[in-house]
Amino acid sequence: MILKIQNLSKTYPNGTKALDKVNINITKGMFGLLGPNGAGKSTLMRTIATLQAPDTGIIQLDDIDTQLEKMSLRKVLGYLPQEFGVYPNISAEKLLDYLARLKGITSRSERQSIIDYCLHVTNLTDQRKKSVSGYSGGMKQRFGIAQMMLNNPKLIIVDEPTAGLDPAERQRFLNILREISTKSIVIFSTHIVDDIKDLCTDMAILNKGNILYHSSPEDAISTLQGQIFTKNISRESLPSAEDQYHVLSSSFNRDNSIRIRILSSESPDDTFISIVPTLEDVYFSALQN
Amino acid sequence: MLATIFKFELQYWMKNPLVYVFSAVLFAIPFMTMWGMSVEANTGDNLVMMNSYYKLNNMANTFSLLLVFILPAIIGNSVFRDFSSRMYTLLYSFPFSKKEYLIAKFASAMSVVMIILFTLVIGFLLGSLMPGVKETVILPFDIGNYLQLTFVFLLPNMLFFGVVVFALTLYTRNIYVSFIGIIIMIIIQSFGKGVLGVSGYETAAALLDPTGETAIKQMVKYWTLEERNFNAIPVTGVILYNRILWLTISVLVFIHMYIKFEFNQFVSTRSTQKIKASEIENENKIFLLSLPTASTNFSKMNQLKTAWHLSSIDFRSIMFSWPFTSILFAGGMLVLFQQYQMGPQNGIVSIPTTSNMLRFPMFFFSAIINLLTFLYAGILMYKGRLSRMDALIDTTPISSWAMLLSKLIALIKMQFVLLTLVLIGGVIAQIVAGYDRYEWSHYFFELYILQGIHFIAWACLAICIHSIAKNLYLGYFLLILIPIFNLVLPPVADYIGADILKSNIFQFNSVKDIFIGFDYSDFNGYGAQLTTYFSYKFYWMLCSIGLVIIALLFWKRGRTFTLSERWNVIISRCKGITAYALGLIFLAFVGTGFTIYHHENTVSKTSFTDEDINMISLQNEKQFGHLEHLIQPKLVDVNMSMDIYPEEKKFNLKGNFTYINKTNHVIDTIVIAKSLKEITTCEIQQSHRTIASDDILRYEVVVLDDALLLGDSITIDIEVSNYPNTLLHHNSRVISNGTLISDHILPVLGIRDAFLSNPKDRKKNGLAPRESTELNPSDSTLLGYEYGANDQGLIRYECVISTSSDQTPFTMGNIKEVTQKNERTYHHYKSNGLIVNAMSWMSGTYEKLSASGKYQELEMYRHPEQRYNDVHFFDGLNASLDYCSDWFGPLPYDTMRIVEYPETEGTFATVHGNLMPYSETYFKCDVHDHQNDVFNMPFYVSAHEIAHCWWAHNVDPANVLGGRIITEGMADYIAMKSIEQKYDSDKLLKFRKEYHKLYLKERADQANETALIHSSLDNEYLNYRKASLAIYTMSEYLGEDVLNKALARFENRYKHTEPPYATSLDFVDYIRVATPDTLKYLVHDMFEAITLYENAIQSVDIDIDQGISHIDIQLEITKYRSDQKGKHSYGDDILQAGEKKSLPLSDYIEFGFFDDEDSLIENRIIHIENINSNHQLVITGNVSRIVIDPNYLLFAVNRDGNEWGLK
Repeated sequence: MILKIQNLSKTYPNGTKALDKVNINITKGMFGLLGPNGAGKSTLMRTIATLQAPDTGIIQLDDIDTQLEKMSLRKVLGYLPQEFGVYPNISAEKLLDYLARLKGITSRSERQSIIDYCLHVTNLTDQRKKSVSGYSGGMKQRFGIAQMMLNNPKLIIVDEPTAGLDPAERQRFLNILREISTKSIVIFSTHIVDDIKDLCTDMAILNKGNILYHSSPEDAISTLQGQIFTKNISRESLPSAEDQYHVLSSSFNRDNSIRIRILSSESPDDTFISIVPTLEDVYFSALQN
Repeated sequence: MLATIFKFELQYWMKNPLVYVFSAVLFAIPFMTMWGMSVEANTGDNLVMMNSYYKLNNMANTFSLLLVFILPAIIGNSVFRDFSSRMYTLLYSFPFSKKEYLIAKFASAMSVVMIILFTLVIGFLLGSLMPGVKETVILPFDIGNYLQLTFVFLLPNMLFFGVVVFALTLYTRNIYVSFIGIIIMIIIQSFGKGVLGVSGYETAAALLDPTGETAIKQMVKYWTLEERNFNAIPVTGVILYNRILWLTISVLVFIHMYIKFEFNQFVSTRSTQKIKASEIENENKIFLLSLPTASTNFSKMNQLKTAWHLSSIDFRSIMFSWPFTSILFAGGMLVLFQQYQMGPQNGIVSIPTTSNMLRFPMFFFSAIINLLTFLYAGILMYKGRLSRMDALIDTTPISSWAMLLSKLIALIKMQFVLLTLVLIGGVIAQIVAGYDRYEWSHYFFELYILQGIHFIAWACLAICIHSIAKNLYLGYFLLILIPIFNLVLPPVADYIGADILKSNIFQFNSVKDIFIGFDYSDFNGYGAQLTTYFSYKFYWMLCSIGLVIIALLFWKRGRTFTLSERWNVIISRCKGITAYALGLIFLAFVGTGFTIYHHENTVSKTSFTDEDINMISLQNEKQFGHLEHLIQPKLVDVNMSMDIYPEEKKFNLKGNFTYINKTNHVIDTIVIAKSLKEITTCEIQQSHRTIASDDILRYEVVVLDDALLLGDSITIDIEVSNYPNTLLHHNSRVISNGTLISDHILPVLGIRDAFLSNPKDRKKNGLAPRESTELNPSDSTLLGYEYGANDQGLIRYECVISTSSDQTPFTMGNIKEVTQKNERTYHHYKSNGLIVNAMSWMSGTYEKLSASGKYQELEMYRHPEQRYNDVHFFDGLNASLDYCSDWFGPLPYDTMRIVEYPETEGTFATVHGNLMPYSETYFKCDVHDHQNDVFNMPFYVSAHEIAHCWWAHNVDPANVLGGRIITEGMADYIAMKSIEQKYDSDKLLKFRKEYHKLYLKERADQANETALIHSSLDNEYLNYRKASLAIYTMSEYLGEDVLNKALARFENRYKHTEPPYATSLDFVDYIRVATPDTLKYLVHDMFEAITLYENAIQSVDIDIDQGISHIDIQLEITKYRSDQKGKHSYGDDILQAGEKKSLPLSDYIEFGFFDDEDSLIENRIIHIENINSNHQLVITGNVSRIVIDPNYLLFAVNRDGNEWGLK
């Protein structure tokens, strides 16, 4: 199974170029789409999910041209948007039943068993009779996963799902996604590097509508092996350090000094310590290229 | 901070296209109305000033309703926006107070409303200043008028509705609640008008109508046209209190909302159930996911099933929401009330028949159903978007058509629930009234089939418009405009001369001649209406299907960013089966429309458009106008057969008709004018030659070889039959049961009185202005045979009438023979002596009832189920027959027959010879209803109609002005006397009070009053109301015996006489002769002038001593003449006392004296000679109340000052 995106472009009426000739192939497993706010992640996700049309370009899932055969794609699609609401005053169970009908599951008993299962997986069984509009953020997000799984999707798109989840919720959420990704393509957008690090089998970095980088997280990190150095400097000397070195990131220490991480083929001087690169370094180096 | 929010809000609105759309439409409608109506206005005396205070207020109030319906989109949205966009989360933390927030929000939204309102007022204003407006209907520009309209009425009204909308939206954080709130308020308003308007609660009704409309109506009730045209609406009394009341309520609502509102109200969710964090059970467990297999099925059948299920979910979400429940409750109450109350139709309150239960509530309620359809279509269509669930739904593989269908079905289910209210209310009202025929199938058929397809078409349109429109508010607004467009199109088409656009095929969902309700008769059900209805509805169903396909093309799924992108999506969807279906539907739609138009306008032989009639009138005048005053012989002998075939809906009349020259003129030219709507052949038996024959005007002009001298006759063999019915036209006058055919089908001699009357049309066709003859009763040339309209004269009549064997046929005369032949029934009728030249033929299935009168046998043939009023018909006949026979001599008939005909064919009753065709309306009249306390219709109409045997048949006055006071005025006078004889004078007084009210109201409305002796032949309030009241007054002043003897002398003098025929002048002279000199003024005041009083008791001093009252009373009596527009005048010898003016007085006025238990002690006549006068009276009894003219013998607009003392 492969999702091929070719030459995908989208420019909004206000002139924003959200996607600029994006080309990428995504295969089974968990794919992380990393990028800052406004990079075009949501546009890409929504376009794949058939919610909007690109100006140019083709998206193909195996032999489905998703622009021409939207229904074929939707049949195998699980989509969890960045933000969503639900009809007021309707219980989780009823709402899942409603969505299951929309997803074409006509047998009442099959619908019931898959709903029960999804509720169980997302730990919502106890709350199934409660109105979803009254759910807390985490519960609502779990509901989002439950509805996503109803049609046993082959392509799953989740748009910044972990924002606003507490660490436990987030962990469970990622676990479920990871499990699903053993059988399907899961595209998962985030601006949190940590989400990607352990789980994703593949990743890309998107900025200003361009794919800056595409590889597996391990490969990405290994390419920077031996090129990342760190050093504590004073606050005042940050500007000159930025002039002097390729600073990837900088952060305060408790004593108000600043720790900078730089990219360099070799250690500039002894004051720098070579360290093991992280995915964050990959991310920043990609953005700054 | 207040100013900042205010400014920000205003900027937001100024950038919002909705504001401009609303303003443009609300400007255009009043502008076009004012301009168009003032340009098109006819000339004449009864002109309504388009920009008078009254008229302007009236129109503005109606049009501003449009703004009321969309108030939520502005005022509600101003706060709802903060919630729906989640701005509240930020706003909550901003440093401003709720005072600033609420006031700035409300003030800015109200400002926008004000701007739109101003455009509406300016629309009127500019419209009245446009070129081409006629000065005769436009008053000079008066800014005060517009200021009063805006600041006293419209703006406070908007303020009230605005505050309610604002508060509702804030309380519920749901904008739809305020949309529905508005609808509920409109329901309650009309409910209030209905409940309170009925009896004695007029003031309460005026106060409780928040728009002030009822208060204004109350105030101007008896205003004459003159006053309505030129007076400002006085902001005093009930209008002032109304304004103060509702302004206060607006302020109170605002204060209440202000106190209740908390910022955090935004945040806490009303319906939040506290949900405990779930037990940490499988918190971090790793699942080995194994989703159960669920097979999916996207077959058409399954999608249909899914659509049905989804619709149930949507339907339930509507049904179980409290706003809808409120609507159901309010709407249900309104429907039930209207069914229970049933406003009188044609002045008659009916028993609660199923057709009435179905018809009465629909007029208002169908508008409510439409509004709710428009609103809920939007709510359903935008449901996903509004709850921000659209991304989840749009990415599911459900096909768009199934989704759309589910919305449509949900909407239709909602409509059917609303329609069911009519059924429930109807059955309740029937149970309460003890009505015992439960016609379930009638209910179901009309509500769910006939009305059902009507509302489904609206649902389809609503779905389509909401699918196309950019947002819900715009869609809702556009939908509200469509019924208005339907109303406006015909006059506009007329104006621009595009007659084709007048056709109903261009007015969405309309059916020619069927508006909302259905005519229904127990005799033949819906009759031919159904074919017309279903033909048109088939056409509109095709349109609706097309609309749904278009809705599907425009269906918003996912998101588009530019118009061209959206357009591309639409084009890309329009392919394959969708495109074919749309094309096919379009072709079928156009084809059906063309067929309907063709059938409507060209196929029929009996239906004429305005243009046809104009053309006929024009040719009539151009080709045959020179024959207008040709003297023709008169019909004297009819010997005929009439065969009616109810099943085949046809008839065939054959007979020979003999005419005699009754004048000294030699007649050699005969003009036969055949019915334009039947097939007629005529054979003149005398030798003659035809000099003209016109197939369109259906004239045959012949010259007789031997001219007719006085007393000579000719005989014409006549055969008449009907054109067969066509799809949309009921050409035959025969119906399946209850046929009534009148003598309109017969040819007449002489050319038709059909001439172009509109001066503009005449000029266009090169005709000189037509001089209208003033039909003055003193013009002796109008009193004989020479005047064509005088078709008086008696005939000998013999007829064999037949019908199918399950029906009974009727015509005038006594039955000589009844035979059955070939499964048909033949009745041979022959008149006993001579009868008036008026004929009817009837056929139906009836139940026969009989009664005996003093002089005649009475028979009644009616529908077997309608046994409600039998006794009243007979009572009315008997009372009137006895009264007339005793005073004026007996009738020559042995038997009088009442025969019922369906109300779908008419609502009149009449008398032809001894046959009284009588409309079903009266058989369904509910004489026990309190609104019929005064008018017992079956009794009154029977008494009235039978009196025509003397006053129309015996005395048949010349057809000139004032003639009908002798026929209709006398018939009503006799009906009054019959009421007095059968019941009592209290009942009669109520009747006459009601007649007074009607007369005063109608003279004010129509503004064409003349003296009774000159009353025009079609003026009902003079010929019926005022004439009978005046004659009754004479009988009270002169004594019944004196007056009736004078009337009997008159009747005897003119009974069946040769010309000159009687006139109103002769009639009044006979009364005058019997009147003593002291009262002669009264004859003049009543009959020869328009005379009204304005009387008041100024002060009363009573000294009661041992049961004897010594009274000192100070009176102010004035009397004036009125012209047709209500302008007062006082003659040359004007009396004056301070401000007060009067005609000279030497009048005898009755005063009533009542004791502490309010029973009458004495009526005493006081002679009045001055405006102010003082009288000392001694009355035996404890007088505690004094009333001027307690028996309503004189005419007075205002009787407020007529009473002294406590009731």
